[in-house]
Amino acid sequence: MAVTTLIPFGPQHPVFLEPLNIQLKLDEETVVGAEINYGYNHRGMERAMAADFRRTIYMCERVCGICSFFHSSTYCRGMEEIFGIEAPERARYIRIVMMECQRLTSHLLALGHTAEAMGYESLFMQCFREREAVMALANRVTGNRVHYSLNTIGGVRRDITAEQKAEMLKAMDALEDRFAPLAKVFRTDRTIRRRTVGKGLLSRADALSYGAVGPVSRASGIGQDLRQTYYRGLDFRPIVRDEGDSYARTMVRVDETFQSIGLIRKALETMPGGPLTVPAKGNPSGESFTRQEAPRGEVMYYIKAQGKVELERLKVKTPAFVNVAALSAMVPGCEVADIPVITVSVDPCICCTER
Amino acid sequence: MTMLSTVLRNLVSGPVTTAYPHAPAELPEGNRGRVVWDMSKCTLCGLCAKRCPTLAVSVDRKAGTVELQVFRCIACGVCAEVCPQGAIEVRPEYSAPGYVKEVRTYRKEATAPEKEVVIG
Amino acid sequence: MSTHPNAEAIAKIREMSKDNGTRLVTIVAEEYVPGGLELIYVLDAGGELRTVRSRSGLDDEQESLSSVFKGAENMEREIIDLLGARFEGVKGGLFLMPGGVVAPLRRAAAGGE
Repeated sequence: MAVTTLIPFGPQHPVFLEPLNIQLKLDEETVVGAEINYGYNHRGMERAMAADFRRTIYMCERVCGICSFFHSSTYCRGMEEIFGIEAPERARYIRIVMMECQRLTSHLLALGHTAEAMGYESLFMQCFREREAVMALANRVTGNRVHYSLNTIGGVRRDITAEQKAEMLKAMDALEDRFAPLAKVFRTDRTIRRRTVGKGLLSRADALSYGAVGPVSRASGIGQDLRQTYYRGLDFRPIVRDEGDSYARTMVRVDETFQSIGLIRKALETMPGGPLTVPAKGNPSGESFTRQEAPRGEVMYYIKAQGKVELERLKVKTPAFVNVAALSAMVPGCEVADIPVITVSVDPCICCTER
Repeated sequence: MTMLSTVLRNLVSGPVTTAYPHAPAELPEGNRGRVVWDMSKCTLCGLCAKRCPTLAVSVDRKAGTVELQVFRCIACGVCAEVCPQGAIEVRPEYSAPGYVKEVRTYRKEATAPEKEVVIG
Repeated sequence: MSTHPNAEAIAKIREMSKDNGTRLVTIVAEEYVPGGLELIYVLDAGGELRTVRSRSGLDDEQESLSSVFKGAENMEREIIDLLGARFEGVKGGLFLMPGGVVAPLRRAAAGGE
């Protein structure tokens, strides 16, 4: 006779630092169903951000801490489209450099947490040590470790000087040198492979149906990366795998870390000179849909303005919203002890999900 | 044994952690920390209060004061950018925690360039 | 309800989804005039953004897209919470708890934007 056990996973759980509740239905040790409950972190940001379009530049950064610059860039690009202006080329390159910097911190955090979920604490600490170096670099360039406050409508507020550029190139060399052995551990370590290969399978059809984005979808064979359009001139190619398990997702992130280091180098070398901002006058009026590739996937901002300081509607679509929903397709069939590693391999960001 | 090179390297090099507060915090030059007003240049126009994203600044023209709720300030630097007199400076100091929510008031006086009064 | 106000939009999206590679990006909902609901279905078809719009009253029951895209269910639950709309076969309660704030994105709740 089968006995079904119901285990609540969360909202306080040992995996990551954000509250999420998953009701797991178990048959012995195997998971047969999962129901995800949200609502622990809802702040009502969409309504708060519509109050004044100039304050929103700084508020939208705080929707998420780990992809804050992506939210700010997407919002500013959306407003630039409504105003009918375009940021100068140098501003676009500076945005690309700082976006890749933040992608590095995000992927290193995701990899560190993947190791931590398995109990591999020393690898977790090493990943975070490399992350500290990148955040200190961002601090030198923008003035803050996490919320760069670098964007404004029309461009960027600070420049990357020649000394900062030399510092960044040196830091990228050091990072690549120190991260290479850690990447090898992720790729080849027997325990890590046993805990991730074949677990948490997401088929291509399911990934499309749930609307999964980012590394989660690229590990399931969907080769879409929005950087292909915005990073013109930098010869960017997405990294795609088709196994669809936790190992594939982790490997996509490891490869993207090396790719980001290369992109930062290339963008710094080929950055043109010129002005940093274009002025944006008056109040906005119009509608825009803007997308960007954050570390976890696609961030989309829908802005509707009607000639006033207040925005009519601001809608934020975050990648974690669709990726966490895809979790309910990955989980059935696995064992209870696999749940933490699968959840972290999706790289959820609950503050993004719930805004 | 793939972690061996990392382990050996960490054995010979020291820790990366700064022993703050026993050692000074290494803050870079452009770090955004503490916002101060130079009242000799301030004309109490109130533009900084209008543009502050978190509504941390309030300007009282009659009393001649500029009040900053320090725990609301996100040190974004917008006030320093919009001030027409250039009276606001963002210094790279570390924002310390506290027991009460600090409010700093700057009073415009005829003689002294900057007078700080901490209330609370 | 025999026909829902957004039935035409749903049928159009069902046609578009037959092309393998169409993905639902999001569903944007707005009270575009007092008492009126506009639903914008944003889809990604081969890398390009396509939108399908549907307008109706705020309190009309809408047809759910979750039979075409599974990810639509959470998006519709969020719209039920934030705007107080109704979708057939979908329950609210994604972000907001009973006994708390009700339909915060409605104009009436905002006290007139």
